[in-house]
Amino acid sequence: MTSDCDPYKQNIQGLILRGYTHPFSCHLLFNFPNPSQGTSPEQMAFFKALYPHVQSAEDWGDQKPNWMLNLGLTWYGLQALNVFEDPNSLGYFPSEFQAGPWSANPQSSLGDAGGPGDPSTWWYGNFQNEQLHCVVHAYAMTQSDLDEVVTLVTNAANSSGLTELFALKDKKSRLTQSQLPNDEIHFGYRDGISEPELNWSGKLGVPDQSDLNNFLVGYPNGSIIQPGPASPLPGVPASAAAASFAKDGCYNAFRILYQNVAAFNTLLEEQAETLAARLGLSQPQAQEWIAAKLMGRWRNGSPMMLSPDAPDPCTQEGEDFGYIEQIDSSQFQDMNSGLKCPFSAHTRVGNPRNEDLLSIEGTSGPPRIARRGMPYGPPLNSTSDDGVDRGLIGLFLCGSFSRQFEQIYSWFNMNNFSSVFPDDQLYPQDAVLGNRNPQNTLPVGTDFDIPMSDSQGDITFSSLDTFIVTRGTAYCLLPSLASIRLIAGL
Amino acid sequence: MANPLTLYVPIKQDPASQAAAQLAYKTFVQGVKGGLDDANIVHYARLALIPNPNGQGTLAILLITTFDGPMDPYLQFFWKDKGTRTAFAGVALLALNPPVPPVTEINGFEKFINANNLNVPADLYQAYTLTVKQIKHVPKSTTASPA
Repeated sequence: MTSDCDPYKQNIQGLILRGYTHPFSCHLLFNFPNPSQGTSPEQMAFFKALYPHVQSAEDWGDQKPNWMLNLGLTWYGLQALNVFEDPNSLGYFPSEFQAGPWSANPQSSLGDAGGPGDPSTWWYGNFQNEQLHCVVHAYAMTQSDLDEVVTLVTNAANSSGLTELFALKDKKSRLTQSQLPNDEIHFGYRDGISEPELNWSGKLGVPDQSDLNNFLVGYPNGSIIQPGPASPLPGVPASAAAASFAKDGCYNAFRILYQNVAAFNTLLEEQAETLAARLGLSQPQAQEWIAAKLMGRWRNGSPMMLSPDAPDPCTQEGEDFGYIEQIDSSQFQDMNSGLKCPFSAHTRVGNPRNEDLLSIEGTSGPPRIARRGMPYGPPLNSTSDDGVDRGLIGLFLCGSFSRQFEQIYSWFNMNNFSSVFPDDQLYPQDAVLGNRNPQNTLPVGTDFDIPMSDSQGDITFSSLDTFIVTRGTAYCLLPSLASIRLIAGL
Repeated sequence: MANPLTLYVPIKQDPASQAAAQLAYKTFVQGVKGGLDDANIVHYARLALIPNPNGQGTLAILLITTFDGPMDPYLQFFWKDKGTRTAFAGVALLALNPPVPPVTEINGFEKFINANNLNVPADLYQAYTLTVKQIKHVPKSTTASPA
């Protein structure tokens, strides 16, 4: 990667460069009152109170903070804050950031519209999508620490006239990280594996989708993704102001995803009962095998490509693999890999690595996003639904919603991005995240195919259930520390 | 699911712009064919010139396409392809109201397309859900031999 100059880590919000391991977190949503002009003194006071606790990307060494904050602003939030002297500056931000994830074009990729996660149902209808202006992410080492930081944030919000918004059904609970064992998410998989490296120097100087300049605004030289607004137009102050404000920021698709654990467990249980004998496994072992085929990794994290037969602690962080096999005689040498990792397994669709991609997908390899999510809601170890809300608080970081997040999401909903998916039949969907929206008109099927080498042929799970329902989405900018200072009037 | 792009751009009325619009109309298919063939997601594309109400000259350029999948993630492909980039950037240059920001890089291109697209996906009637790739897929066994 080439760059004019490296960014200052002190100016970048910490969660952009690394996932935190603080076991407690809470994600608070706010609406700003809209002043007639300029950022109001009350709004400034809110950011002034929070600013000292906003964690930068600087290494904290052995002084790990007991608690800390990061924060994001939606386009409507920027508008309500009146951060720009010339309101035309707002027009220089990306179209999809302005329009919001509920609008028509993003929905072409996200596929929620018309289904159970239709944008009109987001946030349980507790507030309108446009009313969400700011998301504060609070992280802590203990429950007591979390209580302390949440109190600081809510006190600052109350005294500044902000309205707290509640995303859950009871209209009063906050989005709080649940304490599942071993960094697990609901469905029982270890999370936080396989994140882009976010290198500054790039691999051998060759532009790479994992490079930081594809995630951070303001470094267009050598960037594949070209996050914007990055290039101020000569003689256009409104453009320069937008580029300056966005520099060293990163975008966050903040997405609340309900997980239907009972339906997922039912699939595992029913299919294991059918397949255990064929696989020569006990039913619990067969359930784990099926779970691994759906995800592309065993629940401990071992990739199917490295550990096709059983999970292995030695490979559970495994990253050094692809889907091309030298002994494969197919055109792109990526078909045999389906015997280890099904083509529609979730981690394979989300990052197809060196699998052949069609021309329209570009020539730089699959786009990447950085995931900083955590589970919410209590665990469920049953095939009967208890009616309790649970799922993922998803923070999907990118430099361009459309060219990274939405492109990958469109793949989840229709697996047609690679030559491994035949054109003479309905395209499959991502085994876990595919939006089985009956209202969509995509040429997709909801069967999941597991290629097998034995004489009995492939295994097909017919008509997969909906495992994920969107409860809300906000497109946020995680601004630089300098821009937060600007809002705070510091 | 196919999606519509109906790009409507009123253009400048000076002789040079009017002549450029005529040239864009005449060379459109030839200019974009390579890129659209390579994209393999565009069902149809055409450029039309909307006449002024008095019948003299061109009021606006209308570029209509129907394509598979979402639009924004794939605009980068059309920006990188020389033929389609020339066509879109050429239309932007003729615009009566110059695009802000100018169409000089991918973010400006994306904004220009979104700002001037008259349709959303729900506007499109479609008789079928097949993609271009599916339609073009002809199994070898059913390929007819010449008589």
